[in-house]
Amino acid sequence: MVTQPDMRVDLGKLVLKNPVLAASGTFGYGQEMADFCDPALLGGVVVKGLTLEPWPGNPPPRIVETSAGMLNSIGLENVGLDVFLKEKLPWLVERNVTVVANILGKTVDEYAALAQGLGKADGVAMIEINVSCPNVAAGGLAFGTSPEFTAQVVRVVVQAAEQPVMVKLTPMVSDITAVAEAAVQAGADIISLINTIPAMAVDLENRRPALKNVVGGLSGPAIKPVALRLVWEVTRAVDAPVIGGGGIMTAEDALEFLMVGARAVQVGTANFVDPRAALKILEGIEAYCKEKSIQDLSTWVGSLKID
Amino acid sequence: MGDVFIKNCQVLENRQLMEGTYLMRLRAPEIAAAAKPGQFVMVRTGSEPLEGGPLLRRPFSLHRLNSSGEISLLYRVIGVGTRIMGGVEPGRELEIMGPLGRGFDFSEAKEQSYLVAGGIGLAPMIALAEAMGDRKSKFFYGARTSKEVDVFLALIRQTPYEGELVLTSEDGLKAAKGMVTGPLAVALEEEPAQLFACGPRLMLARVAVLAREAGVRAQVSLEANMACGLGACLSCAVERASGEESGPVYSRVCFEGPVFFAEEVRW
Repeated sequence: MVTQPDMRVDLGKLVLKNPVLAASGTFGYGQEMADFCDPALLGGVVVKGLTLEPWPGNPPPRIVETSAGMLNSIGLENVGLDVFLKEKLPWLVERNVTVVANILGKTVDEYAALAQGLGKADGVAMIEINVSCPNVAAGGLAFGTSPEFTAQVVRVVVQAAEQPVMVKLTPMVSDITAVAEAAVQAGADIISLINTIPAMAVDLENRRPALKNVVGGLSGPAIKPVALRLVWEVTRAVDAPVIGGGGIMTAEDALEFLMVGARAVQVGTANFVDPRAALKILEGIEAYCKEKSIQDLSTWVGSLKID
Repeated sequence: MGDVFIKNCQVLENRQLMEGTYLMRLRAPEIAAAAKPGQFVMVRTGSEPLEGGPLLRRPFSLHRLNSSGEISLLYRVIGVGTRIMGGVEPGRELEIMGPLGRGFDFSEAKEQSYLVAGGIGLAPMIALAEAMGDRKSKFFYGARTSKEVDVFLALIRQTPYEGELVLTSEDGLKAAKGMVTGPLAVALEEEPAQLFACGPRLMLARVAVLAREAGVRAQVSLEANMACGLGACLSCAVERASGEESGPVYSRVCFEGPVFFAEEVRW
């Protein structure tokens, strides 16, 4: 008889029921996808990035498809902290969803205020610091490309937050391990990566950029090899748990991230292609474990052999 | 939301009507039963991305819905996704998600209505014309070419629609030369009536102005680049007419739309 594999993920201060999370910005506030994916079945749902005040986002067009990927410049349109706590979070809590709140501030103080506001809220399991959004003028990437600024943001958030704190890194640095190490030294409990890669597409006929914002973030299968390499580097550089992602479309993709050392994965763009994608990936990982007689998925983590 | 499905639907027919314009008929009983005119579906057009197919689904408004469990899509080939669709042989299955979004509300269409379509914007207007039944209405169609006029006539004659047809074409053959908003403006002056419209953005902007001047309401169906179709990705933003002081406010074409009241939109 094939036994049910143990899919739980030990993140230190927090244990996830399984290793598949929905990435920020690709799953709304959970409710949008609920017709096709029960968010409570996932290891966690990272909600759309939150700011203190509601943000309108960028003018359209905001997306364009590219080879094996897509560019987005949503510009962090979100309801703001207060509306999230009052109108979005209760629906998630009622359904026992493991909620990860992704936060973005224009200043260090705003990050602290967001962490403080979320700290009082029941039902936010973890905070993900976004220092890597390429689509906003202030904050985001401006912090994430510097180990010092990243550490500064992490310190204030860790101090203000009651939950475990995860930091989402940008691929846009020459040495990602330096940023990861700075984040962990500043108190980050978990590292997640990668955010999208700043990129561009043009409309030849109209002689215009394909996105109104000119530049957007590349995601999808096109970035998976980049993400895999960076996750591998970070897991070797820091002891803190790592959650990997970037172009994961299938269970096999997810298993590759786990094999190079990520303890869990974030599924992003795949949710747009198929709202059932995260669940299918979860089921696929489970099926793979049974097939290969892997009883505890954590033994698969970091099992890559390099000869 | 309820009543949204992802189904493998068999292609019953996929026919080129004119250069670059196709009609696809599919077997989709659940979607056909739940859908309303003006709603849309997302079609997964082909192979896996790494095999060269597109990544995202493509949105299409429902061109016809019928009680025997079929839906039709009227589409123009504009990129890789629609090119793949054009080559799909009957008998194959396509994965379709829908029905999605807010359709036309014609419950108040009692006296007289004007249906206005431009080019491929015809797609959802035929479904609406069909659903209007014996309500009093006129159908304004603006074509680019006389060939497009022929295609329109063939499509509308397949439906039981009996309202008056007003046709224009840019080449002036087989129809009055000019834009469809010309005769529409005259009609609105003679007899104001509520409007239902789908077509190029410039046409819809003109329809919005004409509706305001005539003191009638207009429901317009918009299109946008879309990723998820479910309101999660926030890609398909359209700026709302409100929110001037506090900066722009956006709605989602896939969720609050694709049908909006013209006065809701910043043109």
